[in-house]
Formats: sequence, C-alpha cells, structure tokens
Amino acid sequence: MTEIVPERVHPHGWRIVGIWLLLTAISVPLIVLVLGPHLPPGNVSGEAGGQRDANVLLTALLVPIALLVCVFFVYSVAVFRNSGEAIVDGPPLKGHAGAQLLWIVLTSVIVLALAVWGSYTLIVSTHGAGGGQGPDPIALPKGHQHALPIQVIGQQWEWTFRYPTYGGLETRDIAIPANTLVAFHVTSIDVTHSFWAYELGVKADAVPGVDNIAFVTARQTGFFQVRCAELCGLWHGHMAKKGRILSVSAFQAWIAAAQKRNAAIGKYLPKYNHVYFPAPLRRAG
Amino acid sequence: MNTTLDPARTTGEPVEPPELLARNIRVGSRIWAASQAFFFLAFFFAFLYLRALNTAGLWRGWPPHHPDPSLAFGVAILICVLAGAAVARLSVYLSAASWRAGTIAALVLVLAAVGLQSAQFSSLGFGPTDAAYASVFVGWTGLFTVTLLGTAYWLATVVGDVSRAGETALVLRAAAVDAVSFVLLVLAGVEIAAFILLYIVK
Amino acid sequence: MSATAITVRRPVWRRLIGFNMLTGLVLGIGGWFLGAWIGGQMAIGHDYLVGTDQNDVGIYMGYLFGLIGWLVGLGFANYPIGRLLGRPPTLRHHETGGWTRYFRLCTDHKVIGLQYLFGIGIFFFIGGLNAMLMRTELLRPVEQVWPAGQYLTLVGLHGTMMIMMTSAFILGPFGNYFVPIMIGAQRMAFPRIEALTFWLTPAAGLILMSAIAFGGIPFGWTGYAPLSDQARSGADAYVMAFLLIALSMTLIGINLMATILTMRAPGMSWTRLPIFVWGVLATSVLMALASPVLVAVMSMVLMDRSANTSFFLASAGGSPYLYENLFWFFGHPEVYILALPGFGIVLEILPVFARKPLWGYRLAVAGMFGVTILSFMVWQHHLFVSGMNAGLRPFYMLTTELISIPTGFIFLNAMGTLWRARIRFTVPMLFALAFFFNFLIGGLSGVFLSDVPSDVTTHGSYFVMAHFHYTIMGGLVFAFFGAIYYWLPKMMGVVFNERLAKIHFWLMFVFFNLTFFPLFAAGFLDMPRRVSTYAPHLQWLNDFVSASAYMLGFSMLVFLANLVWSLVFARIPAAENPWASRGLEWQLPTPIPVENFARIPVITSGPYEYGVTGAPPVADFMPAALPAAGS
Ligand code: HEA
Ligand code: HEA
Ligand code: CUA
Ligand SMILES: [Cu+2]
Repeated sequence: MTEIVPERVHPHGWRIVGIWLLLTAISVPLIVLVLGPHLPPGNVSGEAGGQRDANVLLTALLVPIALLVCVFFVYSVAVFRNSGEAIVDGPPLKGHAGAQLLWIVLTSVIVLALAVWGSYTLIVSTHGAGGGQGPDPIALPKGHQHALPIQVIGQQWEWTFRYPTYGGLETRDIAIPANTLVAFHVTSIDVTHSFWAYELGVKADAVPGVDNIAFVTARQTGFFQVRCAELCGLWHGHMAKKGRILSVSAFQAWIAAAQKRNAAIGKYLPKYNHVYFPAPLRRAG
Repeated sequence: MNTTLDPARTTGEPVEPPELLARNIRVGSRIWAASQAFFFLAFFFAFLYLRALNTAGLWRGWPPHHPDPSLAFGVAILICVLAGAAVARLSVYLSAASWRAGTIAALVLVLAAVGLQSAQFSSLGFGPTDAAYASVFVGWTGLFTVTLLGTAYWLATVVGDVSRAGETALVLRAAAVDAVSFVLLVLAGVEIAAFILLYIVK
Repeated sequence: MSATAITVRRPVWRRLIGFNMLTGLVLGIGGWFLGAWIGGQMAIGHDYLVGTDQNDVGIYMGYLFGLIGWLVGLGFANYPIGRLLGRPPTLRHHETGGWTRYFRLCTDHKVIGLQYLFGIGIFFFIGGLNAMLMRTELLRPVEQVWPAGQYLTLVGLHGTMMIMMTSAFILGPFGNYFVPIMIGAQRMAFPRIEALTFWLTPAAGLILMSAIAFGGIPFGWTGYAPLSDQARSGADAYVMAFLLIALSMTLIGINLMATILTMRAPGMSWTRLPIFVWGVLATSVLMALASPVLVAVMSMVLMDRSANTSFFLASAGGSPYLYENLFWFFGHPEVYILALPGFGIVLEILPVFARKPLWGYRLAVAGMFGVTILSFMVWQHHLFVSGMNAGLRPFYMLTTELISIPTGFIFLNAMGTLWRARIRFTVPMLFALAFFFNFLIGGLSGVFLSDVPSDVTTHGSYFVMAHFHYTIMGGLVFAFFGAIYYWLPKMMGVVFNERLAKIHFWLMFVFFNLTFFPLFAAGFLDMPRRVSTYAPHLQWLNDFVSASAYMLGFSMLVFLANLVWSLVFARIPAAENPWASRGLEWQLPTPIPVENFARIPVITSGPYEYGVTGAPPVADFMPAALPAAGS
C-alpha cells in the first residue's frame, strides 16, 4: 500500500481536451464537406436527401464523441502506465460528482436532441423518410390524395408492379415519373420481403395481408436499384431490378406501350386489390 | 429483510442451513412465477393483437362456423384453478397442521382442472385449424394445462414433504407450501385473464 | 456415502455404464426413434400430410423423446422419482469422483462452469467454422461453393448457434463458477437446476445441427414466420433447439438471481458486491423475463407447423407481425443479455490492472439497470420499415437512443478508472481495453440505426451486420477472452504462455477490425444481408473482408494452440493470486476446494480498495463463530 502524496496537478485534462478539439476541428469539416456528399443514398429524391442528411449529421456528431473517448483512452494508456515491475497502487479516486453529472447532462442533451431532430425529419420534413408506414400513414406529404399509386407485389422471387390508375396494369419492370408524388403500396402474396429502392431512399416490408405505403418524389430522371431487403428464401439475393425514373411524358409513353403489350393477358389478372390472399400457405415439398 | 447468511450456522460440510434453503425456495418461486407470467403474456398479447388486426376478417374463423368453446367447461376449469390456488394459499396462513389437508385439496383441484380441460378438448367442436381465435384458444389453454400439470407434480412433492413432518425442518415445509401456493396464485391470475379473453371477450 | 468410497478401481468398460453422457447419448438417440415412431402413428390419417413427404409431428415427438432419453440417461430423473418415493434429497454424491464428473451430472458449480466453458467453446468453434465457409462463398459475387439453399443454412446455423451459445457465454462458465465464490457462498441456490441448464445446452446444440439432415434452416436466425412455416423439417430442429435454449436461459437466470439475492455472505452488502456480480444480476433479470417469451413464440411456431394453427398465417387470420413483435420482444433484451455480462467483466478487470478503485461504482450499477429496464421498451426498432405501428416510430427512436445514456455510464466508469492510474498491460487488460474501442464503434453505429431516416437506408443491409458483429464479436467475445486469460489460472491452476497470448490478442484485434469495418461500407453501398450473390463491383471489398476473416480465424487457432500447450504440455502451475487482485476468488487456494470456503467468510471490505490507506483485507475467512457442527 503506497502513501498518497498529493501530486502536483498535471495538465492532463487540458491536454486531452486540446488534442480532441484539434482532431474534431480537422475531422468535422472533412466529414461534412468531403465525405458527406458521397454518403448514401444520394440526392435523387427528397426522401433520399433527407436520409443522406441524417447520415451526414450523425457521422459529424458521433465521430467527435468517438474521438473524445479514443483520445482519452490512448492518452491514458500512453501516460498512466506502470513503469517497472513493482506493482504500485494509483490514487484511490472513487468518483467525482461533478464529472458524472456533466457526463449525464451532456449525453442526455445530445440524445434528446437527436430524438427530436430524428422525429422532425421523419414526420415533418421527409414525410416518413421513404420508409414503409403501413396501411394508415401518418406522415402525409402535401397533395397525397393525388399521389400516383403504384402497387409493389413481392413473391418468391420476383417483384411485380401494378398501376391501379391505369386499369390495374401489371408489369415486371418499374418506371416512375419524375417530380411526381408517388405512393408505393407494398404487399406480398407469400412470405415477407422488403422492397428496397436504393437511390430513391425507399424501403418498405412486403408483408402478406398488409398494404404498406411509402411516399417518394423523385427530383430527376435516371435509374434506381431495386433489391429485396428481407430474407425470403432461396433466391432472395436475386430479387434485384433496375428501375427507371422517366420524365412525365416519357412515363406516359411507357405506360401506353405496356398497356398495349399487356392488353391480351390483362383480363386474366385478378382484380386490383390492396392485399391478396392466396390459399392458406402450407409447407412446400 | 436481512438476506445475508449467519456465519454461526455454517459448518465445514456444505449442507445449507434450512433457513437458507427456505429463503432460496421462496425467492426462486417468486422469480419463476414472474417468468411464467411473461410466458403467458405472449398469448395475452397474441389474443389482443390478432383480434385487433383481424386479418382478412378471419379472427373468428370462416363465416358460418364460429368456434365457440363451451362456457360450462370454462367456468368449471376457472373454479377449479381458483379454488386450488385459494386453498393452497390459505393454508399458508393457517397452522402447520392444516398444510397437509390444504395441499392435498389443492392437488385434487388442480388435477381436476387438468382433467376438465382434457375433456373439453375432446368435445371442443372446432379445431386448431379454425383460424386465429381457435389458434390462440388451443395454444393458450393447451400450454396452460401443461404448466398446471408440471405444478401438480411439484405440489405432489410438497404433499410428500408436509406428510413426513418429522424429517424436514418446519421452516422448510413452510417455505415449500408458500412457494408452490404463490406460483399457483399467479397461475390463477393467468387463468382469470384467459377466461375473460377466451370465453367472454372472444 | 463418503467421498473415499468412490475411489475403488473398476475396469473402464464398467465405468462407462451408469448415469453419464454416454448413456444419455444412447438413450437420446433411442428416444428419438421411439418418439418419431409414436409421432408417425399419431399423424396417420391427418389430411395435412397428404401430398407432403414429411411429418413434423413425428419429428417433434422424436426430439421430445430424445431429450427425455438424454436427461434420463444423465440421471436427471433419479431425483424427481426419489422425491415422489420419499427419499430425502442429497447432493453430496454428485460432487465427487475424479475427471469423470465432467461428463456426468455434477452439482458442483465449479465443475458446471468448466463444462460450460468447453461445451460452449466447441459450439462457438462450429459457429466460427460456419462463418469461414460463408466467407469462402462470398469470395466471388456469383454462386460458387455452396448452392443458395446451403449458403442460407450456413447463415442460419451460424447466427442461431452463435446467438444461442453466446447467450450463456459468460454467465455459463464464469457466472456459474465465480458468482458463488465472489459472494462468499458454498454453492448456487439450485444446484440441480444449474446442472440442468448446462445439460440442456449440448442437447440444443446437437438438435440444431441435426437440421442439416432435414433440409437445413434457410431462414436466418430470426426465423420470420411465413418463411419458417414454409421450410422443410429443418425448421423443426430450429424451433426445438431455440425452445430448449430459452428454457435453459430462463432457468439460469432464475438460479443466478436467487443466488445473488439470498446467498451473500455476511458483510457482503450491496455496495461491496463485485461489479461483475451486478452485471450478472442485471443479465439474469433479462433472462428470466425475456426468454419465456421466446419459449412462447417458438411453441406457437411449433403449433403452426405441427397442429396447423394459424398464429402467423395471414390467409387464415393470423399475422406475420405477431411473430415479429414477439420475437423481438425477446430479441432485443437478448442482445443486452449478450452485452451486460461483458460490461461486468471489463469493469471487473480494469481496476485490478489500473490499481485503482472502480471509478463511479454506483453509476456503473445504475447504467446496467438502466439498460435492463430500457431494453424492454425498444424492440420495434428492428421493425421500423415493416409498416407496423408507424406512428410509434418516434417513440421507439427515443427509447432506443436513450439506451446510449446508461451505456455511456460504463464508458465513463472506464475513463475514470484509467485516469491517473498505474496501468499494467497484461493480456486480460489488453482485451478489456479493446472491448471499449470495439464496443464504442458498435454502439455508435447502433445510434445510426436507431435514427429512422438513417435506418431506412441501412435496414437489412451489411451495415446492420457490421453493427452487431462489432457489439457481439468485438464486445462480448473480447470480454470473454479477457475473462479466460484473467481467470483461467484460478480455474485450471496453470498459466498461459504470455507470448502466444499477446500474439493472439494483436492478431484478433487487428483482423477483427479489418474484417468488420469495411462491412459498414458494404452496407452503405447497398449490399443486402443473407445473399450468396452480390453486385460485382463489391467483390474487392468482400475479398478483403474474407482474407481478414481467415486471419481472424487463424488468431483463434493461436488461442487453441496456447490452450492446449498450457493445459496439456507445459502445465506451469499458477500462483494463487498472480494479478495481486483483491477479488475474493483470488484469496482462495488453487484448486478451489469443493465447498469453496471451509466456513462462510465474513466480508470486511470492498473488492476495489486499491491504494486506499488502511483498507482492511477483503474478508475474514475464519470468523470467530461457533465451532463447525460435528467437530
Ligand atoms: C451485444 C449486442 C448488441 C448491442 C449491445 C447493441 C446495441 C445497440 N443497438 Fe443493436 N443489434 C444487435 C446487437 C446489439 N446491439 C443485433 C444482433 C442486431 C440485428 C439483429 C438482426 O437483425 O439479425 C441489432 C440491430 C439493431 C437495430 C435494428 C437495425 C435494423 O435491422 O434495421 C437497431 C436500430 O435501432 C440497433 C440499435 C442499437 C443501439 C442504439 C444500441 C445501443 O445500446 C448502443 C449504445 C452504445 C453507445 C451509443 C456507445 C457508447 C456510449 C457513449 C460513448 C456515450 C455517448 C454517446 C452518445 C451521446 C450517443 N441495433
Ligand atoms: C455471437 C455472435 C456472433 C459471432 C461471434 C460471429 C462471428 C463471426 N461472424 Fe457472424 N453472425 C451472427 C453472429 C455472430 N457472428 C449473427 C447473429 C448473424 C446473422 C445471421 C442471420 O442473418 O440470420 C451473423 C451473420 C454473419 C454474416 C452475414 C451472412 C449473411 O448475411 O449473408 C457473416 C459474413 O461474413 C458473418 C461472419 C462472421 C465472422 C467472420 C465471424 C468471426 O468473428 C468468427 C471467428 C471465430 C472462429 C473462427 C471460431 C473460433 C473458436 C474457437 C477457437 C473456440 C474457442 C474454444 C474454447 C473456448 C475451448 N456473420
Ligand atoms: Cu424477397 Cu428477399
Ligand atoms: Cu434491438
């Protein structure tokens, strides 16, 4: 047991804060300006943009937190080591009410701010952030009554799409008009899938018996990648497609062509519905 | 409550003092009861959730034929479980002389509930395939019966304990009765919930 | 029966007969066939069998009877039958008898701890092997080594095996072994139940692996309902195995909680309880309350698959959402079941090698219980895009992010303990420090996921996968190895080769990070989980990851080599207290006697009073009390 000699107060704390401030001052601008524009899922739609902003902000906020902890650890490990073989006890500090209170207050403030800001983006600024909102969406974008409905049907292992405002037209590839509010109605006829349109920032589970609605407005024409984000069996990885964002007129032309192509088989399709119930599902084999 | 050991009681031989064993049984039974409550919470939730969702309008099964378990059986089972729990619990507060009669009566009542439930299953009038309500009914009551059966075994060992009064310490016998009756009490609570939901609310 | 009566020499074949693992295995396999036959008879004439080539009732009955055979063979039926026949219970004869007690029903908590360590170690190894096979498939973006179905089965087996086994990764070996010692008790509250919790584990592991013979489990560890309902009989193995593990977890939770609540030695007040014991207590609360829900949900799947109920079948009035809700109501507490014991371990190790008291002891306890309580309120963060209760998403976002606060306490404790410390860089300390680095990254990536707009990008992608490997592999497994290096000298009486141990640490730390950090990027670049084929432009990333994963696997071999070398060949006896720790367990002789303490000690001081002038020794081992009975 060593005797406690009151140590000369070392400026450890200030050094740690100094190093941390320096690293933060370097890293945060780098994150926001250099990394930020490349963070997913890009800016093709308002919803995707909202998600990207979330990712940028979270990175810019959490990296300094990580840096603080890391700087503290590295500094301690480098400076507070035991030199020599003899085991020497450190000062018996058991806690410090002020430091604890400060930490609790700081983390609480950060966390509450994150939750408030997250809810704000989710509900107000991005109207559900492109995520599936179930049959009764609460985060409604302006003019949602006039949104273009597109039904997305997941089945093992293919996506099909129906356009109820165009006579329930069913297609195997998807196109949406740019600068138009689109409401995806995602459902499934067998197991659970998840409709993931990466660049559009849309992800909504396709659940049998559920009409899962997600809103999106594309800002520009181009392509987007469709995938399945919920394990659905053997060829889960193969439920990938390229979707297209067309200008409104090109979209009309695309629809017309598709309608023509499908005219012959259209009458065999089941009537358009929000959900479909096949015969009770039993084990395969 | 002082929950630490008394050093004077311990010996080189690791045979716990009866007070400690008694406390273990009491505390263990409280936690076990909580675990069981969470187990049936899943069915409680399943009932309310499926009923609220009413997917495809099939909560109560395919139209003309709605599963309807007989209320008479339901009431009888409820009474047996409640009475069993009450008798077991009451005898805790009476003198040690009443433990034997109390636990035997509780055992009989619990076994009667198991028997009644089996009888109801054999004349149910519907089956597990009759959609959501039927599933919850069969699952909940079925697993509840299995749990009752397990508790009945425990109760039987307690009957054995209190019958051989000379062999085990009084504190141990008291704890055994207290523990099993507490679990029965919680199971009775589950049964009340089951009865209200499965027979009355539907 | 006295201990000396056992030492009569008997021929080996004779010693194999009796209640032991071998008998259990034989009866278990026999029971399987009996049960399968009975189940076959039960199912005859039921219309749902028509047109299918499988009978799930038969398989479930097989597992049930197999389980009964296994337990009877191990001797678990003797006690209940004896109880009913009026024989007085005794434990003594279960605790004696040479090395064979490691292969029998033994109620000595130290034997059970070691049984757990090696039993779980083997399953962990198998799970890790599966991971290596998966990484091999992912070397190329097209299907190459495994057909899609087998790849998915590998994923499911890896995930399920790992989650099932690591649930008791620390509570099983170290909780069982050290909690009674740390609180000054001679054994656990319910020794027979303790043995049962262990022996259910290999049964569950073997049942899970039998899935390979029945068509695999191509639905991941989460087993979402309509998919698992559709799967072939391998799903029955998954259901049964998870059910048994959940039962085992419930029981271990009850047992440890009761032990800590009732068996503390005199003077072991709540403020003197080692922080590891607090971690175990918090974990056991989660285990006792969350695992029963898993039992319930697995029995619902079981009924859906065998009795044709329709809990999860939308076309018959059920709902897949019900499964998802119930599964994650268990599943989220489960991930803290994985995390909390790790917190306990690292906070236990830090003061010893920092030579300082644990900084902010009360805060640490508050942090652990804060996590425990909050973890029951966050489960829908796994379901943000599922379309259920979208209106509740802000609530679940809030509760999930709140968990960062109590978890942050643990970091503050560590930082305070390191502050102006006298750190010794022993191997356990290295693992403890690495824990904080890895868990920091894992936890902060969790904050991304908890933010709904960000989760819409990353849900179902490799980002999630990287997140939880950082928290589990980087957190729990690092803590586990820290605990092994810290406590093995006491448990086995030998020292590890320090050189090899350091090589193990550095390889593991470096290649763990090289394996899983790039996968955050893979997730951001839209690589979904559970696929054997992926976008070609991600190949270089995946190749890099696979190469690192092999090196990670290699680091584990270094560990195994070290274990075998130190345990079998070198056998350098360990000092009784090599770390100069104040922990109660270190004050006992090695090997620890069967009854731990000759007398129940009286605890006189806290375990972390390093550097406190005039701190008394931790305990009085020969309290002046009445002479032991019989002497
Ligand atoms: C040990 C296991 C473990 C642990 C501890 C955690 C911890 C956390 N997890 Fe994780 N998680 C898993 C294992 C774990 N997780 C698994 C297995 C899955 C996937 C299952 C599957 O789908 O297969 C998953 C999935 C998962 C999801 C769902 C993702 C999806 O599928 O879309 C989410 C979403 O919110 C999430 C969030 C969190 C959060 C917020 C924490 C927090 O507890 C983290 C808290 C920690 C910190 C934040 C760092 C330290 C704190 C500080 C330094 C204080 C300062 C910090 C701030 C102020 C922010 N996790
Ligand atoms: C405890 C949890 C745990 C651990 C430790 C690991 C460890 C590893 N995991 Fe695991 N993983 C999961 C839990 C875990 N995983 C889960 C839950 C999933 C999701 C499944 C799903 O989607 O459903 C998953 C999914 C998953 C995937 C995604 C598959 C997919 O979605 O397609 C991948 C891919 O690379 C992967 C890789 C790895 C690797 C390389 C390791 C390596 O770290 C492994 C290294 C370990 C070894 C090589 C074994 C060495 C062991 C010993 C030497 C034994 C010691 C002996 C004694 C103590 C006696 N894991
Ligand atoms: Cu469809 Cu995965
Ligand atoms: Cu979670």
